[in-house]
Amino acid sequence: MFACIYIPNASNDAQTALLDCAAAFSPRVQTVPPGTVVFDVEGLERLFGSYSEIASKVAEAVCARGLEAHVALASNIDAAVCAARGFGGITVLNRGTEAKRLCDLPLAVLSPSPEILETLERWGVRTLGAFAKLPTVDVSARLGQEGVELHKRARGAGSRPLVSHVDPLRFVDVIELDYEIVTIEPLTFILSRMLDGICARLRSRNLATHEVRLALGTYVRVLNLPLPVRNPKVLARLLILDLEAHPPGVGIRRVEIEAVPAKPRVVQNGLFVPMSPEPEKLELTLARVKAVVGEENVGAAEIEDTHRPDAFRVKKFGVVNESSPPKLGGVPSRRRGGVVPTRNHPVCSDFFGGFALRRFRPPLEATVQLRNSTPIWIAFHGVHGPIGTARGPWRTSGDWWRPTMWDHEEWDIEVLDALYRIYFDVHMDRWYVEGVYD
Amino acid sequence: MQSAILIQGFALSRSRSAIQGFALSHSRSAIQGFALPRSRSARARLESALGERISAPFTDIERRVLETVPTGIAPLDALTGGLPRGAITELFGPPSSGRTSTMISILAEATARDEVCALVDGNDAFDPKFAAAAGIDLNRLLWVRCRKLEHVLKTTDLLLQGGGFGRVVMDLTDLPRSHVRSIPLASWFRFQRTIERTPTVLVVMSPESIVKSAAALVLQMEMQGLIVRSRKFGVRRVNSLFCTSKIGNSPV
Repeated sequence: MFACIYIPNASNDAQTALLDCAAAFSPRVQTVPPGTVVFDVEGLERLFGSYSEIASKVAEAVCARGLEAHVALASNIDAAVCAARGFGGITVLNRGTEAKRLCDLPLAVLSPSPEILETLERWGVRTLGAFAKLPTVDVSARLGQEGVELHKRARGAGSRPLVSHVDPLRFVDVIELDYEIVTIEPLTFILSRMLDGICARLRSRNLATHEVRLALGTYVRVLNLPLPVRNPKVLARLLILDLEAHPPGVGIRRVEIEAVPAKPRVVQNGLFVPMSPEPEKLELTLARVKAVVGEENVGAAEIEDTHRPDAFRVKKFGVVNESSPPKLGGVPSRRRGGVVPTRNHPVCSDFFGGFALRRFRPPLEATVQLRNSTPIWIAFHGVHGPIGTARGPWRTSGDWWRPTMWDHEEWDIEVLDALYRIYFDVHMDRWYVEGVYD
Repeated sequence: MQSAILIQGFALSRSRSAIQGFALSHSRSAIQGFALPRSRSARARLESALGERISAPFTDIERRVLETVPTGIAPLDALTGGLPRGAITELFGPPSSGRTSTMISILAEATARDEVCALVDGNDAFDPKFAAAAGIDLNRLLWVRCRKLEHVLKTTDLLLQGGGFGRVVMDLTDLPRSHVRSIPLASWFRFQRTIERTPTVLVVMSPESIVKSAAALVLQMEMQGLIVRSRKFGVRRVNSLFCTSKIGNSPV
C-alpha cells in the first residue's frame, strides 16, 4: 500500500514540510511535485493500526505543521496520487476497488499533457471512468505510449515502482528582513521561529543537532554542542547568549541558520546512577554563567604537565558519563620542564598531613627581614609581624629556556596564628606571598 | 505581646516558610507562652490578620528527615552525621583553621561517588594541583572563578536553579568582610528554598557567620578545634579535627 499527501498550490516550504512529514512514517518517500508526496506504508499496520488509522495519523501530522492536505491510501502509487488529487480529506482505496472509486474523477488528476487532454475533451471523454472504458489498442493507436500509460492509471492499475527521494539532508532556514535589526532582542523572535521549524524537521527524521551555524549577513557564529540537541528553546537561548557575548556590531538584514544533523543521544537512566545535571540544562546554565563572569573563568581545571607553580588551564566543562578514573589521576604522570620536587615538598606530601593551599593570584609582594638567611619578620597586604616558625627553603626552578622561567626559594611560615607559603624570586630579587594554608 | 508584634512584622515582609523558620529557630517557647489564655485574643487577631496570606502561621512545618552525605573526614562525620542534602551548610573560621581542607575533602568525597560538583570561587583562590592530590576528580568539578560578590551570588543562583549538582560550594572566604556582611538574609533563604527538595548540598565558606538561621548545619572552624551547630545534634565542640603539625616537614 502507498500513501499520498497532496496540497493544492503548495509552496517550496510546504513541499519540504510534506517530505519531513512523510519521512516520519516511512524511509521510502518519493516527491511528485508540485505539492505531492508518496510513500510506502506497507507493514506499518503493526505500528499504527489499520490503513484508515494510518491515514488519520498522517493527516494529523500534516495538520500539526499548520498545513491542510488531502491524504489517500491505495494499492499503487498512481491510484493513490489520483485519489489524493481528486478527493478532499482522507481516502482509502481498498485493493480491487480503485477503478470503481476513481471513475468519476476529472482527467486533470492524471496530469496529462495539454495535447492529449484537448484530444480527449474533443472526444467527449471527461472522466477517468469514461477514459478507462476505451479499448487499450485503440488508445495506443491514437494517443501513443503516453496515452496507454494514462489509460492504465485511469483504470487504477498503475504498477510503477516507488523511486525513493534521495536528498542531502540540510536543515537550513533563511529569512531576508525588510529593514535592518541592530539589537539582539528582536532577533530572539526570529531565531525562535526559525529554530522551531528546523527542530520540527529534525524531530520528524529522528535526528538532533550538535552544531548550529548562524549567519547574520557576513557575521557567522558557530555553536558547538557537546551532545546532540533538538529542543528549539534551548538552542534559541544558547544562540542569544552567544550573541550577547559576541555581538555582531552591524545591522542585520539576512538571517540564516543551518543545523548539522546528528544521531540523538539515547540514554537509559538507572536507579543508582549518581546525580548529574541534565546535559541540555547544563549547557544553558554554563552559557548564562559565562555571560556573568566571562568565558575564560568557567570550566574544569586541567593541570599542565609541568612543575611550574600554579600551572593549569581551564577547559570546557561537560558531564562525564563513564565512571571516574582512579583518583590522583589529575597529577601528571610524567613531568618535564622543572626540577623534581623533594619528597617532603608539601605538594607531594600526604594531603591531610598538611593543609590545603589557598592561592593569591597574583602573588602578593612582601617585605621580609632575614636573620641567618631565615625569614624572621614579614609585612604584606595589611599583615605584618614576626615570623613564629619558618621551614625552608624548597628550591624550584625550570623553563630556563623560556620567558616564563622561574627560580624560587619557597618557605612555609607562621605569622599571627596563620600559615603562609612565601617565596623568594631569585631573578626578580623580591619576596612574594604565594598563598595561605587553610 | 512583644513577641507577637515582632512575628507580625516579620510575617508581613517574609513568606510563610520564613516565619516558620523563625518560629523554629527562635521563639518556640515565646509562641507557646503567647498561646496562654491571656494572649489568646491577640493570637486570634494575628491569625485573622494573616489569614488571607498564611493559613496557619503558628503551625510547625512538617519536619523532613534530611538525608546526609559524608564529608570524607571521619571525626567530622561522627560528630555531625554528615552534610544534609537539600540544605545549606555553613563553614567559617579564621585563616589556617582548616576551612579549605574541609571543603576539598567534601568535594573529593562527592566526586569519588561520581557526583558532579560546582565551586564558585569568590577570589580565585582554588589550587587545582592540591585538589587533584587530595582526590578531587577535576573533570567532575565545575570551577567558576569570580572576583566580585554579585558575580558569586548570581552564579550560585544560576547553578542552583540549573540543578543536578551534588555539592555546590560558595567560597566567600577572601572577600572583604563588609561585602560579605552586606548579603541580605533573604538571599540565603532563597537559596535554601531553591535546593529544599533537591539532593544538592550548598556549602557556604566565609570568614564569619553570615547564613544565620538559613543554615541547617554550621561548622565553626577554630585554630584549636571545631564547634558544630546543627538542628539535629545542637552544639558540639571537638578539639582536634586534622592531625597536623603547624608547619610541614623539613626540607631535605
